[in-house]
Amino acid sequence: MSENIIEFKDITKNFGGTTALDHVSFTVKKGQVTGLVGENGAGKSTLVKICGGVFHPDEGEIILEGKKISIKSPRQAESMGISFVHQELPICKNLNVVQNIFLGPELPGKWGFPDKKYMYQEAKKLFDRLDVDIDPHKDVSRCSMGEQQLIMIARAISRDAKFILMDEPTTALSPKEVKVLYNVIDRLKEEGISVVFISHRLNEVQRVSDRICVLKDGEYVGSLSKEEASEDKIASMMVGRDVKIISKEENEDISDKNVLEVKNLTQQGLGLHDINLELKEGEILGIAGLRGAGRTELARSIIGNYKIDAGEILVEGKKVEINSPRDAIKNGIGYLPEDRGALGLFHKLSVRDNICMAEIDNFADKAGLVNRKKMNQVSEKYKKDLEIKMHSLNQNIISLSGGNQQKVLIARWLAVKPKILIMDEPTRGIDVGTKTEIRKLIMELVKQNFSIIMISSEMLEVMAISDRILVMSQGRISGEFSQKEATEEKIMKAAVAERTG
Amino acid sequence: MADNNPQKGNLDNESQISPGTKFKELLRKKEFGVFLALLLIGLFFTIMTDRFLTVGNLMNVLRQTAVLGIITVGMTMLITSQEFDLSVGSIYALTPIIAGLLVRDFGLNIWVAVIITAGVAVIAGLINGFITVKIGIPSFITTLGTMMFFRGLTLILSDGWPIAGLPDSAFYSIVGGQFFSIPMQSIWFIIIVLIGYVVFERSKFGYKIFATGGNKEAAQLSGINTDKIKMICFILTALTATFAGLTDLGYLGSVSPTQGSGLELEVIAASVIGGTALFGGSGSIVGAFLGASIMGVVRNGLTLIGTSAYFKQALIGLVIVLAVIVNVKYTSNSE
Repeated sequence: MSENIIEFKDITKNFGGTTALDHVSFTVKKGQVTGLVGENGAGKSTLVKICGGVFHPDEGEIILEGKKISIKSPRQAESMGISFVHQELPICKNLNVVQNIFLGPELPGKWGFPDKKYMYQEAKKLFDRLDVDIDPHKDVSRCSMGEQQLIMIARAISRDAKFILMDEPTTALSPKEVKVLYNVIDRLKEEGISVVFISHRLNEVQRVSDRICVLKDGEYVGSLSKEEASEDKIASMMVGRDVKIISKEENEDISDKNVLEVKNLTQQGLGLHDINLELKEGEILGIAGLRGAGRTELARSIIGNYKIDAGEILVEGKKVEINSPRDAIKNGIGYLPEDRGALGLFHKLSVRDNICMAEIDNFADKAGLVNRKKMNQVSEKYKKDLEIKMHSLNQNIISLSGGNQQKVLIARWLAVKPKILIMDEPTRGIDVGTKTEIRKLIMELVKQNFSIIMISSEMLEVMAISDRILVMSQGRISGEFSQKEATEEKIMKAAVAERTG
Repeated sequence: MADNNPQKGNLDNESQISPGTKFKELLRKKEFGVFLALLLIGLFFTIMTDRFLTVGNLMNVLRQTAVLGIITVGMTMLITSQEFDLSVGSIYALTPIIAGLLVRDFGLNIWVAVIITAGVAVIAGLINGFITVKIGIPSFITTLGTMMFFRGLTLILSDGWPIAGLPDSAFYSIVGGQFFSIPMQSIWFIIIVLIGYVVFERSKFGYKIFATGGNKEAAQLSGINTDKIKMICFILTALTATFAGLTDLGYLGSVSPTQGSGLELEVIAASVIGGTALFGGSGSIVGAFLGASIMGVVRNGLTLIGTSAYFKQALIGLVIVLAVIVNVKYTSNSE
């Protein structure tokens, strides 16, 4: 009944010696949502870039509605009816919603003057079609990430898109926005527009997709229909082995001693109110909550990135004054940021330099000269301990996969050896296999005198690893559970708790 | 930003798989592109005139390049920390003028004057650094202002006249004389390059410059005081400009209040030819040395083959762009 909208035939793409895609074939049917999953490095983004004309396949062909095509640029792709929604949206932040939708060589209007009224009405119609509520006059700079994606989708359908590729569209969205996106995807299906939905979050893929295709190491593994698919099934296809979210046994090494206490911390500007928490020695304290609950803000207030209005911080029972991340490190608190690229990596430096940078003073002699041999030895040790995959320590950090980059950043903190390590979304944007490795590592660390606060939006992760779980909602602590008590329902209830009184 | 653009590590120039032979390793050095450009330019002038490739002339090139090269060392560190200094040309005139005045009008010993001058350089660097780092004005604007301010100050102090005829001192032979017929200026140039190399590419301070310029936020979260690093880079840059000015005072025995106008752009050009990333996080002292040398060789070579001054200006402009193209292409190809 349903015809093929786009067909990939034997697509092969090599980069130097490595094969990113190896004879990948699959089809997308009209009006269907196809989920595309795979570990990092499986070839998903290469495929997306081929559709956008950024890369050209070495072999194979792309057939759009029965015609063989070759895509040379994103603009050409758009003119053929292929559109993209991804994390780095090509959106003009200085313009408003309408302007962004119609931006292009053919602006509606006469004599070179854009017809604003027409554009406004058209934009309204587009949003009605998608059943979303966005003011077309709003400045894009004031739109949330979710709204910006919807604007790009509206732009796509205004150009008669037949096929929309969504690459990790939900990463930056709040749960509410994700629901809106689901709705929009349903609408697109009704209009006969095909969607390819790429995500690390298997439950989302399962929720929206009619069919789920799995890539592994550049090869097409197979597909599952909506009915067949389960998270376990998909995950095991992705890694080629059975994966289970690891679950831990009760940690008996936790002492009664508090290594960190936060008392009545308040930061008005960030909306943090009267936060109290304590971290015991050798404990993994999970902080769950929804996006925007104030978890990252809390962490960055503790390490002195933001100045607190009131409250005190005690390390090993002593009150400390922390005004900058430097002070935090001096007091034995390290912070692994959520946003690896912006806050973690030194993009132009080698793996070794990235590992050693926070501890560089201790790699230097009295004259201030750095002992590279020592740096190599230490880096080599962490490379082995954490199983960081790389050719050489001299390799540039950005040539590593996301998971290995994260391991390098963890190694950076292990070299510093803070008593307390705050890890903000330590497994975000990382493939399933490496996620498990990092989770195991976190549990290993508390045996080596680290005490850990782990912020995570993945509820199963929090429940699997933490000894104790705090839940935040609207800048407050809204719940606390021991590992035994915690259930998904309880955590969710606390996470959506409205402020009372 | 440059995040999507894989560049090679700078503290270590090899990338990817370690090469088998020393020669291959050399080819992988990111400075090799500039070196190649310098070689080609040298070859061109060697063919064009037999006066180019002589010991005497090359020594002369090194001396003529000293001022540009010394300041390029400081500027390379500053640009790598993600800041600029357009006031170096003015500082290069201001500080020797102050030294000259102190000697001529106040009868100070020239060595004392030199020490005071170094203090002035530190203050100039602090002013640039404070306005940029603490008040938060982009360094491009800050130093555009101080460039004019320092130049004006120089003209006010000197009343627009050059200073010459200072009493004899060992200073002149040590700073600007000759050592076994090698010009002292070129020796100082080499010494500054060596010191710069150690500080920038071997010391913890150097590593922190790369971190600060590469990703300021990440550097701060790693406990690096990025404000301090930038401030020191501003001071070092002002100090190199002052040192360059003093070597000229030593060589010429005089200083002009208008000297060095336009020098700041040549310094930035030399640094960029040498592979310094304009937006920070990447740079090398060897590259800076080679970049300044290219500027010097081109100027010298064109003079030798008798190019008119107007042509020379235009050709140097072309060479700057070509050298950067060669370098960028080479760097991206060897990835």
